Formats: sequence, C-alpha cells, structure tokens
Amino acid sequence: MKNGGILNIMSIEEKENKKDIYILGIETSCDDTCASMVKNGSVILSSVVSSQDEIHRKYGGIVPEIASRKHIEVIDIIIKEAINKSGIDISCINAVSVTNRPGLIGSLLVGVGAAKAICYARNIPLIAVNHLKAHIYSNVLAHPNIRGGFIGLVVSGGHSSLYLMDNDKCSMKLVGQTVDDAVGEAFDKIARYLNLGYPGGPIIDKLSKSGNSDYIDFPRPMINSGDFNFSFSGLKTSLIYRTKKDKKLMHKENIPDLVASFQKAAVDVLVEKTIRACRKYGMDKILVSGGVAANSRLREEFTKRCSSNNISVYIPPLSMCMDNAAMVACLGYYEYLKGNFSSLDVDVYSRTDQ
Amino acid sequence: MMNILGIDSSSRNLSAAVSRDDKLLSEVINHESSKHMVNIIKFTDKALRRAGLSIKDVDVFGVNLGPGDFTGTRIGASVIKTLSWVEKKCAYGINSLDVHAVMCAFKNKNTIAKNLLNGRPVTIAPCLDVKRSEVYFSFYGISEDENDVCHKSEKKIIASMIIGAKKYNIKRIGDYHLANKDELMEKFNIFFENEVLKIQSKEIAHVNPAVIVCGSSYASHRSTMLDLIRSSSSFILDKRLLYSQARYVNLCSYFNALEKVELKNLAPVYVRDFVPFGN
Repeated sequence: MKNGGILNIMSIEEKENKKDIYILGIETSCDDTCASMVKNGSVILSSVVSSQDEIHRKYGGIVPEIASRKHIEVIDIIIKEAINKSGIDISCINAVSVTNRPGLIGSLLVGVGAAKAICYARNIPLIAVNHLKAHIYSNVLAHPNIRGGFIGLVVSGGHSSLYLMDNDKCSMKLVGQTVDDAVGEAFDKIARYLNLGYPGGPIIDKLSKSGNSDYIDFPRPMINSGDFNFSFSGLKTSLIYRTKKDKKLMHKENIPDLVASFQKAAVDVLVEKTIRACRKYGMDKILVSGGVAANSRLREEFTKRCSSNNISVYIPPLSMCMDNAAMVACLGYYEYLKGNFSSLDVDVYSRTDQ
Repeated sequence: MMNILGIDSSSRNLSAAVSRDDKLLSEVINHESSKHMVNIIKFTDKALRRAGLSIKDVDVFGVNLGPGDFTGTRIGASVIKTLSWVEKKCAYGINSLDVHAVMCAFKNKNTIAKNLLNGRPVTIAPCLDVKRSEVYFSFYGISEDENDVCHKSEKKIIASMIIGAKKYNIKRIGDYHLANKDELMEKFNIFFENEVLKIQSKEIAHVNPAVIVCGSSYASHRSTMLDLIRSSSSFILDKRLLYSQARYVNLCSYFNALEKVELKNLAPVYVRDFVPFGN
C-alpha cells in the first residue's frame, strides 16, 4: 500500500512534468511597456510592446517622469492584450515573471505593482528578474538548446556589461561593464550633437553604411586596460573635439564617414574585449543582446571574428534585441523550474548591486 | 451589500481598508514613512484577513489617485487597476482632496452637527502640499440629503454620512484650485467675501459658514496656514488630519458604486503638466 502511495505521487509528478508551463512576462524598466506569454520557455504565444519612442524623441532622450506617467496609463491594457493574443486563459498562467532591477524606479514599480496584483489574486508565484539577465535570455529563447557556459554581452542605451554564465544557466557573474556612458547612450548623444535625431543607434547605423569607417582613426578606449570594463564617454568627446577642430567634418557630406568611423571604434572595442573574455574564461560561446545588438556592424563583426576564433556567437533576431517581455518570461521559466520564487514584498532597484 | 477594498498610498502613510457598504470592517495603516512597494500586498492581505474575506469576495475596488507622492500613488494605481481587472470588478480612483474632505467630515462629526443644528452651514477646506510651494485646495459643503434636489445631475456629491437620524451629503463646491502658498490667503478671500463662501459660476452661497481646514499643507507650510486661520474667526484648523486614509477612499468608492458613476482608466492625478528641463 505504501509503495502504491509513493508510485501514485510519482505518477502525478510525472504528469506535472509533462504539462506545459505558461509564464506571463512583464517588462517596464525603461520607456517601453511590454507583456508577453511564453510557453515552456521557448514558444512565444504573444509579445506586446508599447513603445514611447515618439514621445521622447522631441527631448533627444528618455525623460523618466514622462516614461512613468505613460506606463501607468497603459500597463493593464498591454497585459490584457498579451493574454488575449496568447489564447491562454489567465487561470492557466503558472507564474508571473517581472523585471524589478535595474532600471528607472518610476517605471519599474508600475510593472512590479501589476505583477504582484496578478500573483496575489491568482495565488501563483512571482518571479522578479534582472533586466540584463533577461536580455541574455533573449538568446536562450531563440536557441533553447544552448548548453554549457558562455560569455554574455548586453549592450543598450542604459548598459554595456559582460557576464560570465556557468553551466547551470542561472548563476551569472558580472566580469566587466562601462565605467561611464553605455554604448547606446554614446550613440544617442552623438546623434543629438550632430542633429541626426533620436534614437541615435539606428540612425548612425544607417548613415554608416554609406560612410568610410577608416576615415578617422578614433581611439579604442580601454582596449588594453587589462580588465573587461568599457568606456564610451571619451570616444564621444574625441568625436566632438575633432569636429570642433575641423569644422568641415560637420558638413552633411562628411557625416556618414564621421559616424561610420565612430561606430567602428565602438564596435571594435566591444568585439575585441568580449572575445578576450571568452578566451580567458575558457568558454566557446558568446551571447550578444540588448538594443545595440541590432547594430549591423556589431552583428557582422561578431560573426566574422567569432568564426575565425572558433567561437559560436548567438545574437537574437532584431525583434528580440529591444526591450521586450518574452525574454523576461523565458528567464522566468528557468527560474520557475528551479523554484526560485520571489516574495510579494519584493522591492524595485535602480541598480543591480543593491 | 457590497464589499469594498481600498488602498491609500498617496502620502507617506500607507493604508489598506475593507468595508461592507459604509461600514468599516478592517484597516491596516502605517503611520511611519514606509516602503509602499514592499508593504502594499501585505497590508491588503492583512486587511482582507482581518475582515474575514478573500480577494474573491471584493465587489468594488478603490484607490486614492492623488495628487500626492508620485511613487506611492503609482504603486496604488497599478495594484488596484490590475486587481480589479483580474477579479473582473469595478475600481474607482478618488481625488485626494475628496478623500481628505470625507475624512475631515467624519472626524469632525460633532462640530458639524452642532453648527448645522444652529443653522450655520459648514464648509470643509482641505489644503494639500503639492511641492514647489504650492497648495492644492477645494471647498466642500454638507447638506441634508432630502434637500439635495440637484445632486444626481451635478455629480459633485462625493460621499454621504449619517448624523443623528439624518443623512447628509458631502458635496464639492466649485473646482479644485492651485495657489502659491503666498497667494493662498488672497485666493481664500476671493471665495470668502464678507463671511460668505461664494463660488460665482455655481451661484452657490454659504452665509457665514464654519470653515474646517485640514490637510498636509499644515505640515509643510505651518506659518502660512496659521496666518490663514487667524485671518477669520470662521476658520477652524484640524491639525490632526495631515494624511488621508484608505477607509475614506472606501466611503467615496461606495458612493460611486451606488450612484453607478462612470468607470475611468485609473491614472494618477497631477496638478501640473510635466515640463522636462524646467520651464
């Protein structure tokens, strides 16, 4: 009888294991309100993004107070849409995964407040995740068969960070980060300085295609610093000095050459230091992610350099580079499998080290 | 009968309350500054448990939408709008001045009853500190329900209260106002000319009202508020009532639900548009 009982439990557990896991992801760390439903950590049933680009464009950058005001207006609408589009009833959701760090406090708290309310009302686990780790998981979402450890590079308007991920897919160590501007921030600031528009990344990328990237030999900041940190503020200043010294660089016909050279310098440092980190830690895989992972030169350089170094490189499709909640749900799935749940008392943090 | 769950996170004090109709069943409140994000679900759960209810039993949700502390108000709005959506129940967002007015009316029932019995009208004037040396205020009258012929069309009644055997309505007179603290007395004088509260556009006149002033302005602009109170013998200052509480959010929400007030997308109330990089 006892054995029968145990067998019974086991069979229930087995059934549980075979059941599909649905994770609702919510992401409001910066200016995009995002919600997504992901099945088994790999099938995106819905991914809704409400972008505020249009609103922030006229300021040449994100205004935190405005971002927060927009999030609270649309948060429930975006979550509802993600659930409706997924075709999954709210009662089937296994857990809610939400970004609670790092990011703008006024933005984070809108998503986390909503996530807590759903978990409390539905009595399901809350999983509060790190935004940067979620970015890295946008690659795991696209390639669920990635095994073993890797080096993860997150490059966006707010971050330029290198992570070492060991085998278990969950414990992640920061091995380097920017000491000043994030790379995307430098792109935005240069675009604003040259009156090219906002966001700067895609504009500079496009202009660079018709430019000569060897036109100016910009410095490669911190390329031989001996650690894995980055610096992009000096590169930005260097461009500004050059244009002040040589006014004709600001002429319309020279802009593509100017920004192409700038972009090349930034990409060179990122690619070089990431590959060095990969070698140092004995890894054979690099996972690139974040908004700047959409940059065509960065994608090309990583593909080229990794192939000649026998390193596999993973970069998510363009749609998954920008902030989205599918990556948050994907990371949430792996935390769910490990039972890494958060308390409903969880707070929001502007930085990861808090 | 309806069960109401309300949250007030618009000030440094966080509170969650559960009521059945206009009767309070439980309230959890933190009088110290607290991390609202950390405590909001805990307080909500505690209030429901103390009332012997679960979230599934809630018929109406309510939240103080400010003006108030930006961070706190957003946390409350996000939690309540999501709870009401998941539970498929209605949610009302209440202006912070309305919550203060109801709190002031209930906390001063005796004063109000005494004045009304003597035939003297009562005006409530909550004054909220909204930063940048500005005060956000409005006026509320208290009138017998049976004499209130126009209340359905006017839609300015925010809650009702029983004094003795009679039902009274708490009604906003005129709009919400914003004034620099240095101009507050001047603005008040426009409304209280010759001891008569006049709101010109509405042709309402309260002759020689007793005016009860409350709200957070007293905490931030003490001397301004004391000067204002001293300027007229009609003014009474209730120094206790600085920050609003969830139980009064519930009273307003109950009234909204009874009157089937139109539901709106819950978003915090801001007293001014946000202008990046200054003016």
